[in-house]
Amino acid sequence: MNDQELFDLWNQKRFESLWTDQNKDRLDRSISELDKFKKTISRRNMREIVVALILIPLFLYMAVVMEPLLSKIGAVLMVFAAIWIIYKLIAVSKTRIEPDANMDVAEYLTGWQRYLLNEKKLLEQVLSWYILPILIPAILFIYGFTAFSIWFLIELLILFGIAWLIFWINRKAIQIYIDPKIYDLEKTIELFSDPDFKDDD
Amino acid sequence: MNPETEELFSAIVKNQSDKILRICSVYADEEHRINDMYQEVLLNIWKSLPGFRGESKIETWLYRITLNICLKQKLKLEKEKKKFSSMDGIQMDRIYENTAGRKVQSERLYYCISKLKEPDKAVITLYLEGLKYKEIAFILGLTKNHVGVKISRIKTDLFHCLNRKSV
Repeated sequence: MNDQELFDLWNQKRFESLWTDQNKDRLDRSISELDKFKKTISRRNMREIVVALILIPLFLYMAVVMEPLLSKIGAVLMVFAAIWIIYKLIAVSKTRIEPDANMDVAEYLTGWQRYLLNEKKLLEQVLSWYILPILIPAILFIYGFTAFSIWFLIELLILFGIAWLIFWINRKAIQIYIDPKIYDLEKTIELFSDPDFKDDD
Repeated sequence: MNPETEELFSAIVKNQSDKILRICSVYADEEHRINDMYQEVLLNIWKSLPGFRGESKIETWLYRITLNICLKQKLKLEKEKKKFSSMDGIQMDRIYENTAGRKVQSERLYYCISKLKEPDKAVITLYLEGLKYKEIAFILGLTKNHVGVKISRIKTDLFHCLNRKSV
Protein backbone atom coordinates (compact mmCIF):
# COMPACT_ATOMS: atom_id res chain seq x y z
CA MET A 1 0.00 0.00 0.00
CA ASN A 2 1.30 3.46 -0.87
CA ASP A 3 0.60 7.00 0.32
CA GLN A 4 -2.02 7.73 -2.32
CA GLU A 5 -4.03 4.67 -1.34
CA LEU A 6 -3.90 5.83 2.25
CA PHE A 7 -5.29 9.24 1.25
CA ASP A 8 -7.98 7.56 -0.88
CA LEU A 9 -9.08 5.37 2.00
CA TRP A 10 -9.17 8.37 4.30
CA ASN A 11 -11.27 10.43 1.90
CA GLN A 12 -13.62 7.58 1.12
CA LYS A 13 -15.59 8.03 4.29
CA ARG A 14 -18.79 9.91 3.55
CA PHE A 15 -21.20 11.58 5.92
CA GLU A 16 -24.06 12.80 3.74
CA SER A 17 -26.68 11.51 6.11
CA LEU A 18 -25.28 13.37 9.07
CA TRP A 19 -25.92 16.98 8.10
CA THR A 20 -29.63 17.58 7.78
CA ASP A 21 -32.12 20.26 8.69
CA GLN A 22 -32.60 18.34 11.87
CA ASN A 23 -28.92 18.91 12.68
CA LYS A 24 -29.35 22.59 11.97
CA ASP A 25 -32.20 22.64 14.49
CA ARG A 26 -30.04 20.80 17.01
CA LEU A 27 -27.24 23.28 16.55
CA ASP A 28 -29.65 26.17 17.01
CA ARG A 29 -30.92 24.49 20.14
CA SER A 30 -27.37 23.92 21.44
CA ILE A 31 -26.54 27.58 20.88
CA SER A 32 -29.65 28.74 22.68
CA GLU A 33 -29.00 26.22 25.48
CA LEU A 34 -25.49 27.59 25.88
CA ASP A 35 -26.89 31.11 26.09
CA LYS A 36 -29.47 29.87 28.56
CA PHE A 37 -26.75 28.23 30.68
CA LYS A 38 -24.73 31.44 30.76
CA LYS A 39 -27.86 33.41 31.63
CA THR A 40 -28.69 30.91 34.39
CA ILE A 41 -25.23 31.34 35.92
CA SER A 42 -25.38 35.11 35.73
CA ARG A 43 -28.97 35.09 37.09
CA ARG A 44 -27.84 32.89 39.98
CA ASN A 45 -24.96 35.25 40.74
CA MET A 46 -27.31 38.21 40.43
CA ARG A 47 -29.77 36.58 42.81
CA GLU A 48 -27.03 35.98 45.40
CA ILE A 49 -25.86 39.56 45.00
CA VAL A 50 -29.40 40.92 45.38
CA VAL A 51 -29.93 38.82 48.54
CA ALA A 52 -26.62 40.11 49.90
CA LEU A 53 -27.64 43.68 49.02
CA ILE A 54 -30.91 43.22 50.90
CA LEU A 55 -29.05 41.77 53.90
CA ILE A 56 -26.78 44.81 54.18
CA PRO A 57 -29.41 47.46 55.16
CA LEU A 58 -31.41 44.86 57.08
CA PHE A 59 -28.49 43.89 59.32
CA LEU A 60 -27.32 47.48 59.58
CA TYR A 61 -30.78 48.27 60.95
CA MET A 62 -30.53 45.24 63.27
CA ALA A 63 -27.15 46.43 64.48
CA VAL A 64 -28.77 49.69 65.56
CA VAL A 65 -31.97 48.40 67.10
CA MET A 66 -30.87 45.11 68.67
CA GLU A 67 -29.92 45.50 72.28
CA PRO A 68 -27.70 42.48 73.04
CA LEU A 69 -24.08 43.31 72.26
CA LEU A 70 -23.38 39.91 70.65
CA SER A 71 -26.34 40.38 68.28
CA LYS A 72 -25.02 43.83 67.35
CA ILE A 73 -21.57 42.36 66.62
CA GLY A 74 -23.17 39.50 64.68
CA ALA A 75 -25.23 41.96 62.60
CA VAL A 76 -22.20 44.11 61.77
CA LEU A 77 -20.19 41.03 60.82
CA MET A 78 -23.08 39.86 58.65
CA VAL A 79 -22.91 43.17 56.75
CA PHE A 80 -19.20 42.62 56.13
CA ALA A 81 -19.90 39.01 55.10
CA ALA A 82 -22.51 40.20 52.58
CA ILE A 83 -20.07 42.74 51.11
CA TRP A 84 -17.35 40.07 50.97
CA ILE A 85 -19.63 37.60 49.15
CA ILE A 86 -20.68 40.24 46.61
CA TYR A 87 -17.01 41.01 45.96
CA LYS A 88 -16.14 37.32 45.68
CA LEU A 89 -19.00 36.54 43.25
CA ILE A 90 -18.00 39.42 40.98
CA ALA A 91 -14.30 38.47 41.15
CA VAL A 92 -15.06 34.82 40.44
CA SER A 93 -17.25 35.59 37.42
CA LYS A 94 -14.32 37.56 35.97
CA THR A 95 -11.92 34.62 36.31
CA ARG A 96 -14.34 32.13 34.68
CA ILE A 97 -12.86 32.33 31.21
CA GLU A 98 -12.98 29.20 29.10
CA PRO A 99 -9.85 28.64 27.02
CA ASP A 100 -10.02 29.73 23.41
CA ALA A 101 -10.39 26.71 21.12
CA ASN A 102 -8.16 28.49 18.63
CA MET A 103 -4.93 27.60 20.45
CA ASP A 104 -2.45 24.88 19.72
CA VAL A 105 -3.55 21.58 21.25
CA ALA A 106 -1.17 21.53 24.20
CA GLU A 107 -2.03 25.13 25.15
CA TYR A 108 -5.73 24.42 24.83
CA LEU A 109 -5.61 21.34 27.06
CA THR A 110 -3.49 23.17 29.62
CA GLY A 111 -6.00 26.03 29.48
CA TRP A 112 -8.82 23.63 30.32
CA GLN A 113 -6.80 22.09 33.10
CA ARG A 114 -6.17 25.56 34.56
CA TYR A 115 -9.87 26.40 34.25
CA LEU A 116 -10.88 23.22 36.09
CA LEU A 117 -8.23 23.70 38.77
CA ASN A 118 -9.64 27.19 39.40
CA GLU A 119 -13.14 25.76 39.68
CA LYS A 120 -11.87 23.08 42.04
CA LYS A 121 -10.07 25.63 44.21
CA LEU A 122 -13.21 27.72 44.39
CA LEU A 123 -15.35 24.77 45.49
CA GLU A 124 -12.70 23.56 47.94
CA GLN A 125 -12.59 26.98 49.57
CA VAL A 126 -16.36 27.36 49.88
CA LEU A 127 -16.00 26.95 53.63
CA SER A 128 -13.73 29.98 53.96
CA TRP A 129 -15.34 32.36 51.46
CA TYR A 130 -19.02 31.48 51.78
CA ILE A 131 -19.99 29.26 54.68
CA LEU A 132 -17.93 30.60 57.61
CA PRO A 133 -18.41 34.32 56.85
CA ILE A 134 -22.17 33.76 57.13
CA LEU A 135 -22.23 31.06 59.80
CA ILE A 136 -20.18 32.89 62.45
CA PRO A 137 -22.17 36.15 62.38
CA ALA A 138 -25.42 34.15 62.28
CA ILE A 139 -24.44 32.19 65.41
CA LEU A 140 -23.42 35.38 67.25
CA PHE A 141 -26.58 37.15 66.15
CA ILE A 142 -28.88 34.35 67.35
CA TYR A 143 -26.92 33.71 70.57
CA GLY A 144 -27.22 37.41 71.43
CA PHE A 145 -30.95 37.25 71.97
CA THR A 146 -31.62 33.58 72.74
CA ALA A 147 -28.55 33.01 74.95
CA PHE A 148 -27.84 29.37 75.73
CA SER A 149 -31.26 27.80 75.45
CA ILE A 150 -32.98 24.93 73.72
CA TRP A 151 -33.96 27.34 70.89
CA PHE A 152 -30.37 28.31 70.42
CA LEU A 153 -29.37 24.65 70.18
CA ILE A 154 -32.12 23.91 67.66
CA GLU A 155 -31.16 26.91 65.52
CA LEU A 156 -27.50 25.99 65.83
CA LEU A 157 -28.31 22.49 64.64
CA ILE A 158 -30.23 23.84 61.64
CA LEU A 159 -27.43 26.27 60.75
CA PHE A 160 -24.76 23.56 60.96
CA GLY A 161 -26.97 21.21 58.98
CA ILE A 162 -27.30 23.73 56.14
CA ALA A 163 -23.58 24.57 56.28
CA TRP A 164 -22.64 20.88 56.17
CA LEU A 165 -25.01 20.28 53.24
CA ILE A 166 -23.48 23.14 51.21
CA PHE A 167 -19.98 21.86 52.02
CA TRP A 168 -20.88 18.26 51.16
CA ILE A 169 -22.51 19.18 47.82
CA ASN A 170 -19.38 21.10 46.82
CA ARG A 171 -17.08 18.22 47.84
CA LYS A 172 -19.18 15.76 45.87
CA ALA A 173 -19.09 18.04 42.83
CA ILE A 174 -15.29 17.98 43.02
CA GLN A 175 -15.13 14.18 43.39
CA ILE A 176 -17.70 13.33 40.74
CA TYR A 177 -17.23 15.98 38.07
CA ILE A 178 -13.98 17.87 38.44
CA ASP A 179 -11.30 15.43 39.69
CA PRO A 180 -11.88 12.76 37.02
CA LYS A 181 -11.77 15.41 34.30
CA ILE A 182 -8.56 16.88 35.67
CA TYR A 183 -7.03 13.39 35.82
CA ASP A 184 -7.97 12.59 32.21
CA LEU A 185 -6.68 15.96 31.03
CA GLU A 186 -3.41 15.41 32.87
CA LYS A 187 -2.93 12.08 31.14
CA THR A 188 -3.55 13.58 27.72
CA ILE A 189 -1.33 16.60 28.38
CA GLU A 190 1.42 14.18 29.45
CA LEU A 191 1.12 12.41 26.11
CA PHE A 192 1.36 15.68 24.22
CA SER A 193 4.37 16.80 26.22
CA ASP A 194 6.06 13.40 26.02
CA PRO A 195 9.69 14.01 24.96
CA ASP A 196 9.14 11.53 22.14
CA PHE A 197 6.39 13.76 20.80
CA LYS A 198 7.78 17.17 21.63
CA ASP A 199 11.55 17.02 21.14
CA ASP A 200 13.08 17.84 17.86
CA ASP A 201 14.78 14.78 16.37
CA MET B 1 -23.25 38.05 15.09
CA ASN B 2 -23.21 40.21 11.97
CA PRO B 3 -24.56 38.96 8.62
CA GLU B 4 -21.06 38.57 7.12
CA THR B 5 -19.95 36.30 9.94
CA GLU B 6 -23.18 34.33 9.67
CA GLU B 7 -22.54 33.90 5.98
CA LEU B 8 -19.00 32.68 6.70
CA PHE B 9 -20.37 30.22 9.24
CA SER B 10 -22.88 28.87 6.72
CA ALA B 11 -20.08 28.47 4.18
CA ILE B 12 -18.01 26.55 6.71
CA VAL B 13 -20.92 24.23 7.49
CA LYS B 14 -21.55 23.72 3.79
CA ASN B 15 -17.95 23.22 2.61
CA GLN B 16 -15.97 21.92 5.55
CA SER B 17 -18.41 19.49 7.17
CA ASP B 18 -16.83 16.37 5.71
CA LYS B 19 -13.38 17.37 6.94
CA ILE B 20 -14.66 18.06 10.43
CA LEU B 21 -16.63 14.83 10.47
CA ARG B 22 -13.66 12.76 9.30
CA ILE B 23 -11.61 14.03 12.20
CA CYS B 24 -14.48 13.52 14.65
CA SER B 25 -14.90 9.95 13.45
CA VAL B 26 -11.37 9.16 14.58
CA TYR B 27 -12.26 10.26 18.09
CA ALA B 28 -15.66 8.54 18.31
CA ASP B 29 -16.86 5.39 16.60
CA GLU B 30 -20.64 5.51 16.89
CA GLU B 31 -22.62 7.71 14.56
CA HIS B 32 -24.56 9.57 17.23
CA ARG B 33 -21.35 10.30 19.13
CA ILE B 34 -19.65 11.57 15.99
CA ASN B 35 -22.65 13.76 15.40
CA ASP B 36 -22.58 15.10 18.96
CA MET B 37 -18.88 15.85 18.62
CA TYR B 38 -19.54 17.56 15.31
CA GLN B 39 -22.25 19.73 16.87
CA GLU B 40 -19.85 20.70 19.63
CA VAL B 41 -17.19 21.65 17.09
CA LEU B 42 -19.68 23.77 15.16
CA LEU B 43 -20.83 25.39 18.36
CA ASN B 44 -17.26 26.36 19.17
CA ILE B 45 -16.64 27.61 15.65
CA TRP B 46 -19.78 29.73 15.99
CA LYS B 47 -18.55 31.10 19.31
CA SER B 48 -15.00 31.74 18.08
CA LEU B 49 -15.79 33.08 14.63
CA PRO B 50 -16.22 36.73 15.66
CA GLY B 51 -12.68 36.54 17.11
CA PHE B 52 -11.12 35.12 13.95
CA ARG B 53 -8.68 37.78 12.78
CA GLY B 54 -7.33 36.01 9.71
CA GLU B 55 -3.82 35.56 11.15
CA SER B 56 -3.82 32.02 9.78
CA LYS B 57 -5.75 30.39 6.96
CA ILE B 58 -9.37 29.72 7.85
CA GLU B 59 -8.82 25.99 7.29
CA THR B 60 -5.87 25.88 9.71
CA TRP B 61 -7.97 27.77 12.22
CA LEU B 62 -10.81 25.27 11.74
CA TYR B 63 -8.53 22.28 12.20
CA ARG B 64 -7.22 23.72 15.44
CA ILE B 65 -10.71 24.13 16.81
CA THR B 66 -11.87 20.74 15.53
CA LEU B 67 -8.92 18.90 17.00
CA ASN B 68 -9.16 20.67 20.34
CA ILE B 69 -12.86 20.06 20.74
CA CYS B 70 -12.72 16.43 19.54
CA LEU B 71 -9.93 15.72 21.98
CA LYS B 72 -11.82 17.35 24.84
CA GLN B 73 -15.04 15.53 23.96
CA LYS B 74 -13.19 12.25 23.68
CA LEU B 75 -11.99 12.57 27.25
CA LYS B 76 -15.64 12.87 28.23
CA LEU B 77 -16.64 9.82 26.20
CA GLU B 78 -13.83 7.64 27.51
CA LYS B 79 -15.38 7.64 30.95
CA GLU B 80 -18.70 6.33 29.63
CA LYS B 81 -17.05 3.80 27.39
CA LYS B 82 -14.60 2.24 29.84
CA LYS B 83 -16.99 -0.50 30.92
CA PHE B 84 -17.64 -1.57 27.33
CA SER B 85 -14.09 -1.32 26.03
CA SER B 86 -13.25 -5.02 26.11
CA MET B 87 -16.40 -5.88 24.15
CA ASP B 88 -15.64 -3.16 21.60
CA GLY B 89 -12.31 -4.71 20.70
CA ILE B 90 -13.81 -8.13 20.10
CA GLN B 91 -16.64 -6.78 17.94
CA MET B 92 -14.39 -4.60 15.80
CA ASP B 93 -11.96 -7.43 15.10
CA ARG B 94 -14.78 -9.74 14.07
CA ILE B 95 -16.15 -7.20 11.64
CA TYR B 96 -12.78 -6.78 9.98
CA GLU B 97 -12.14 -10.48 9.85
CA ASN B 98 -15.47 -11.38 8.32
CA THR B 99 -16.15 -8.61 5.83
CA ALA B 100 -14.32 -7.93 2.62
CA GLY B 101 -14.08 -4.93 0.25
CA ARG B 102 -12.67 -1.47 -0.05
CA LYS B 103 -15.18 0.20 2.23
CA VAL B 104 -14.04 -2.17 4.94
CA GLN B 105 -10.44 -1.15 4.27
CA SER B 106 -11.46 2.46 4.76
CA GLU B 107 -13.21 1.59 8.01
CA ARG B 108 -10.16 -0.39 8.99
CA LEU B 109 -7.99 2.67 8.43
CA TYR B 110 -10.20 4.74 10.75
CA TYR B 111 -10.09 1.92 13.27
CA CYS B 112 -6.29 1.70 13.10
CA ILE B 113 -5.99 5.47 13.52
CA SER B 114 -8.36 5.40 16.48
CA LYS B 115 -6.03 2.91 18.18
CA LEU B 116 -2.99 5.21 17.92
CA LYS B 117 -1.74 7.34 20.80
CA GLU B 118 -3.53 10.70 21.00
CA PRO B 119 -0.65 12.84 19.69
CA ASP B 120 0.00 10.43 16.79
CA LYS B 121 -3.69 10.39 16.00
CA ALA B 122 -3.73 14.18 15.78
CA VAL B 123 -0.65 14.28 13.53
CA ILE B 124 -1.88 11.66 11.07
CA THR B 125 -5.44 13.00 10.74
CA LEU B 126 -4.10 16.42 9.82
CA TYR B 127 -1.63 14.84 7.40
CA LEU B 128 -4.37 12.80 5.72
CA GLU B 129 -6.45 15.96 5.45
CA GLY B 130 -3.67 17.22 3.21
CA LEU B 131 -2.12 19.81 5.52
CA LYS B 132 1.50 20.73 5.03
CA TYR B 133 4.06 19.85 7.70
CA LYS B 134 4.36 23.52 8.57
CA GLU B 135 0.60 23.81 9.16
CA ILE B 136 0.50 20.63 11.24
CA ALA B 137 3.40 21.94 13.29
CA PHE B 138 1.54 25.23 13.82
CA ILE B 139 -1.65 23.50 14.95
CA LEU B 140 0.05 21.11 17.34
CA GLY B 141 2.85 23.34 18.56
CA LEU B 142 5.64 21.15 17.13
CA THR B 143 8.60 21.70 14.85
CA LYS B 144 8.28 20.99 11.14
CA ASN B 145 11.09 18.42 11.22
CA HIS B 146 9.53 16.52 14.03
CA VAL B 147 6.22 16.36 12.18
CA GLY B 148 8.03 14.72 9.27
CA VAL B 149 9.72 12.14 11.47
CA LYS B 150 6.45 11.40 13.28
CA ILE B 151 4.49 10.96 10.07
CA SER B 152 6.84 8.43 8.55
CA ARG B 153 6.81 6.39 11.76
CA ILE B 154 3.02 6.55 12.09
CA LYS B 155 2.58 5.55 8.46
CA THR B 156 4.69 2.44 9.04
CA ASP B 157 2.49 1.58 12.03
CA LEU B 158 -0.65 2.17 9.99
CA PHE B 159 0.48 0.02 7.05
CA HIS B 160 1.37 -2.69 9.50
CA CYS B 161 -2.06 -2.43 11.17
CA LEU B 162 -3.89 -2.39 7.82
CA ASN B 163 -2.03 -5.38 6.46
CA ARG B 164 -2.36 -7.41 9.60
CA LYS B 165 -6.03 -8.23 9.11
CA SER B 166 -6.94 -6.85 5.72
CA VAL B 167 -8.50 -9.38 3.35
